[in-house]
Order: sequence, then C-alpha cells, then structure tokens
Amino acid sequence: MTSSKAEGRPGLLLRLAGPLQSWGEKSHFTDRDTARFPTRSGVIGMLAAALGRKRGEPLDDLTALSLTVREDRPGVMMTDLHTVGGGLPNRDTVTTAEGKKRGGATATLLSRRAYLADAVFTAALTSTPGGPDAEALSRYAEALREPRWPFYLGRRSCPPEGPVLLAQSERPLEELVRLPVSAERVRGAGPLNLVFLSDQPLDVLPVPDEWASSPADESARPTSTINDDPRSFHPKRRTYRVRPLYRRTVAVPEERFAGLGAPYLVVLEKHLAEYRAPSEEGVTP
Amino acid sequence: MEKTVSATPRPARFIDIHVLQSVPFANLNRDDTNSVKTVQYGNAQRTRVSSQSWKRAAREKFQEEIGERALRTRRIGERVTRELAETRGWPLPLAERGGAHVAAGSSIKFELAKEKQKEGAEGGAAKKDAKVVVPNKVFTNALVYVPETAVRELADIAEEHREKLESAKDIKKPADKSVLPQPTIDGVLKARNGVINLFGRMLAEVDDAGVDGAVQVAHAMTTHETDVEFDYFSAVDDISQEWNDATGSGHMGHGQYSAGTFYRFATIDLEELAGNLGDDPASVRELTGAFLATFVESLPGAKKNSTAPYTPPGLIHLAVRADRPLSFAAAFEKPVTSSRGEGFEEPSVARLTAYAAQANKMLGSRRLLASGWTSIGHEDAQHVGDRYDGIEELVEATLRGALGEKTGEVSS
Repeated sequence: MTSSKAEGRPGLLLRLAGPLQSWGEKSHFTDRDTARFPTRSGVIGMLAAALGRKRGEPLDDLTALSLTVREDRPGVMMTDLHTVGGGLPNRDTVTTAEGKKRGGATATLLSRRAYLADAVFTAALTSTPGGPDAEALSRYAEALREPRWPFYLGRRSCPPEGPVLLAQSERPLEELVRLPVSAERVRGAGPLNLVFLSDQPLDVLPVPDEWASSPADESARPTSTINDDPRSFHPKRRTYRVRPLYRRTVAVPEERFAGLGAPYLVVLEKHLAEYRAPSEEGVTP
Repeated sequence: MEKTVSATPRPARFIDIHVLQSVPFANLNRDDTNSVKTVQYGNAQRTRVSSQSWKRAAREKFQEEIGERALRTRRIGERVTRELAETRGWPLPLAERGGAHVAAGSSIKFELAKEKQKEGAEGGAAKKDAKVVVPNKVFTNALVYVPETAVRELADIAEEHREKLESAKDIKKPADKSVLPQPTIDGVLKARNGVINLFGRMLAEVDDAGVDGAVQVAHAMTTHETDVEFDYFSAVDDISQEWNDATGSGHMGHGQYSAGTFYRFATIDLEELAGNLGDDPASVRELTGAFLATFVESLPGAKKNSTAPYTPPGLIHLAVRADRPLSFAAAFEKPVTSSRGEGFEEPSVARLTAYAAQANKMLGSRRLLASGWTSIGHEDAQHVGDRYDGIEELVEATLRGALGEKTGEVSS
C-alpha cells in the first residue's frame, strides 16, 4: 500500500450504472446539462431519498461523507430534445414567468436535456473525521437496500440497473480499487487506465505497488473545482458550494475487467462473497 | 447458496413492469430533425423512445381507462361562472362576480382580462386600440391542474356565501380581495384525481399542492444494435399523370425509420401512491391495475399513419418487490445478436430471463414477493415467475400478490 492515511474511515461502496444517467451541474431553465461523472449533489441526494428525507431536511451527516468515483466506463454524451406544450390548445401550454401564455408560434417549448449514455461508475462514500459512524453507515446501507423512494441516476427517467449498494466496508477506498470493473476487455490487451475522481486528495488511494498510477503527489492537488457540494435541497433555497476535484489514473490489470450484464454480476457476486467472508456478521444484515 | 426466508411477511413496495416488444419499420418518437431517437449502450447504437413520449401515450390511455378527466387551466373562475349561471340559475352579473371571487380567492396571484374599448363608450375621446379591464374576468397566473369535479366544489363555496357575494364588490384589479375563504378554495385546488395521484403535479403557488408522481418510466431502447433507415419517397402529380405532358414527380423526400425489439421498464411506488391517495386501498388497486394494463398496451404515435406499428408486446413480466425497483436493462448491455436467423425477440427473452435469475439470486429472492409473465410465442420463459394466459390474468394475479389478497391460502 502506498499510504495508510485512509485507514479507519469506514464507508459504503456503490454501483452507479444504467443505460442513461444525467448529473446536472449548471442546468438553466430549458438547458439541462450533465457532468461527465456522478456529482456529489446527485449521489448525496440519492442517499437522502433512499433514507426518506424530504427536500429541505438537514443533510449535515450526509455531506460529511467523502465521494470517490471510479470510471469503469466513462460513457458518451447524448442530447435529447424534449418538447412541452406542442399540439395543445393555447390555454394548455406553458405559462411564462410573468404568468402570461406563450402564444402561437412560441407555444411549444423546446428543452435540451443532456445525458451520459453507456456509462458505469463504482463509487465509495467514505466517512470523514467527525462524520457518520459505523452504526449510521449501517442505517444508510439498509436504506440503500430498501429505499424509501425509487433510485434514479440524476434524473427520474434514468433508473439504475443491477445492485446499487455493493457493500458496507471498513476499507472502502482499498475495496474501490480492487472491485471487478464493469467493462469488457480484449484478452491480452494489458492493464487499462481507469480514472478516479474525488473530493479528497487521492494520494491516500491505496493502489497496489505493482500497479502503475499517476504520482501520489500530483493526485494530492486538485485539478479543478466543481459547484456540486449540496448545502440544502430545499425546493426554494437549493444551494451548492464549490469544492475541489481531485483526479488520479490507475492502470488496472485486465483480469479485473469482468464484462457486461449477467456475466458481470456473476463475477461481482463471487468477489463480494470472498470479501465478506472474514467479517460476515459485521457486513450482512 | 441457500437464502434464509424472512420470518415476518414483508410489505409489497414496488411493482416492476418489464416488456419486450418488437416494433416494425416505424419512428415512434422523433427528434428535431425528424430522425429516430437513438442512444449508445454497450458500445452499440440502439433505437430509443424517450420516457416522456411513452409516458404521455400511457397517460392518455390511462385517463380513458379510468374515465376521469383533469382540467389544466388559468380560467377556472370563468368556468365556475358558467356553472353558476347555466347549471344553478344565478343571474349572470352575480355569477360573474361569484366566479371572479372564487378565482381571486385562492393563494395564486391573478390578473384581469382586458379588451379593446368599445366605440361610443363613455368619455368619447378614447384612444384607438386602448384596452380596458374587464371586471370579474380573472385569470390565475399559474395553471391550476384539478379534477373536473373541482368546478362543482368551487361553485358550492360560492353558493354557500351567496349573500356575501350579493353585497360584495366586483373584482377589478389584481389587488382586490375576495370575500370567499382562501383555505377552502385552496383546499379544492389541492384536490387530486387518479391521474394526478399517479403521475404527479407541479403547482408551486399553492402550498402543498405539488404531488410527487408514483410511477417512474425509463427510456425504452432496443435490445440490439439498430441503424436508422432512410426511406426515399416520391409523390405522383395526378394532373401530370392524367395529361401525360410532364415527367418527374410532384414531390420528393425521405423519412427516417428503424425496426427492432424494445426493452421497456417502468415501476410503481405503492407506498407513494397510497400516501398520495390517503387511506384508500380500493383506489390503490384500481389505479395500479389501470396503469399496468395501459402502460403495457400504449404506444407513442409519431408517424403512426405512415407505419401503423400496432404490435402487441411479445413478453410481459411483472414483479412485486419488497426492497427496491429493479431494471433489467443490463441484460441487453451486450447487444443481442441474431446469428442463427431467429430474429431478436427470441434471444432477447432468453437474455432477460437469464439476467433476472442472476439479479434475483444476488439481491435475494426473498425480496421478490410475486412474479409472473404472459407472452405471445414464447413457451418456456423460466426464472420470471408463473405463467398466465393473458394480460388481465397477469395483472389480477400481480395485484393480489402486491396487495396481500391471497386466494386459497392463509398468510401467516
């Protein structure tokens, strides 16, 4: 291991996969964008919804979680044109901000909605000092197994596929590096670079010594910032803060690539069963 | 690995709907260039129908099925005026004042209709095209979205306060106050019917009037790679043909289409629906059953006259779950191929059932409370529950499983 700083920080491992995802970052009226990876606000919002927290309820315990995402498959951008009010009588069309009706030629409202298609992410939600303890994490895990509201990957028309909660973990970052990768590989092609993205310095990422990766000191500095750190999801006072974005590339051996669909689930289940075995009581309900 | 069976019966939370449906040469949902909507999945291009498009098709059929309509309007006051004047025989001026006070009495801000000043009106020297306010013709600033029965209930409020209205002033400007009780009117505007309870409503102006929908619909996409086909066409000019004095066509163009087997997924959140409805198990049953049937049978209508793509689904699988909704889209992440010339539906059914078996094993089948399927032409769909002869039987059995109405056995 390159570092032991991350030890003692329990967390949860999630899988964020589905044909379409949309993690809005700077959406504005009819232009709904997506980031290229799951945002903090999106993932924390999903956990809040699983717990049955209504919009506007406190989030402090959840925002004390750190999010690290592994890009199993980065996916491609897709824009969907969405019309509202077309073909309806005038009175049934959209109302403008002034309370007027949109007339004749402008009655149909065009909305461009960006999606991330064909993407798969594996993510670790890690407790930070003063953040949720093991008992709280168990409650979150239970909520992710049986969520109060259905999951969606940033937008309601984007349900996830397969398991969302992979495990509750004592060493979530170590496990994140080692989990089977949800992508196909050509045999003999060698290790493939996977990008890890985090709100925390990634020099703590425990990359096995024999794997190539971008240097630890580089990944201890943020590469950019993103405005996705939620303070409140209150419908009228929704606020986000800017947070740093850290990035690290790790060359993951090809045997970790476990394919798509049902064959992936088989490998994943086997991996999780082996991982769970030593501490069965502490992990499964 | 043997799963332990839970000792206490778990409540049904979600009903998942999985449909495999082959659609011939068609363009069910087009984009801004009239092309077929597509999506990349598993490194392959698929044909896609947006969730919005399919949801609208399902909603229209659903409204027909349950025989309930909802009104979406800014002119609720005028509608109440008509009810008071025509149905209840109020004198027109009083009915107008009544309708206006109803509309002005909600917590939604309003404005008044304006029309051109009539010639020869008082004052004489009115400017041409000047507009004057029409008293008592009130438009709410937001669309209300209410069951049609709200009109009668709002008229009842006016009826109850008729004496007050007889001595009240007309509504002439947005600052005028209604003599009717705001909470009672808002109460009616917050009312919901089946469509609103199931699909949800946005109405920010009235507190607590927003309704979170209880159904979630995914984008539909083909289980296999598809290309968009360009169909060239020309149109004959009948006069040229009759007189035979010119060559060439009257019009040329092209349309874009594709064909394929779609995977469609939707889920109903039973707890959310029950919450939206209050304590009303009969309505939960009725709305759930109507949605299952109409979602399965609905089809978006783009270019329907030029393709008539009215196919029934090849496989319908319903699952009642105690934990979470579970999409089987990943069954088709690796695109289905048709190497032996058996088409796409047959191998898609095999993929779906194999994935269902694996996913339910991993997540624990004790969370699956009931499941079943019905099909055209697929005899041996394993791992997706009991077989039923038709949609009606499948929906009925699913509702029984979901709502705990076991027949012929006593639940412990």
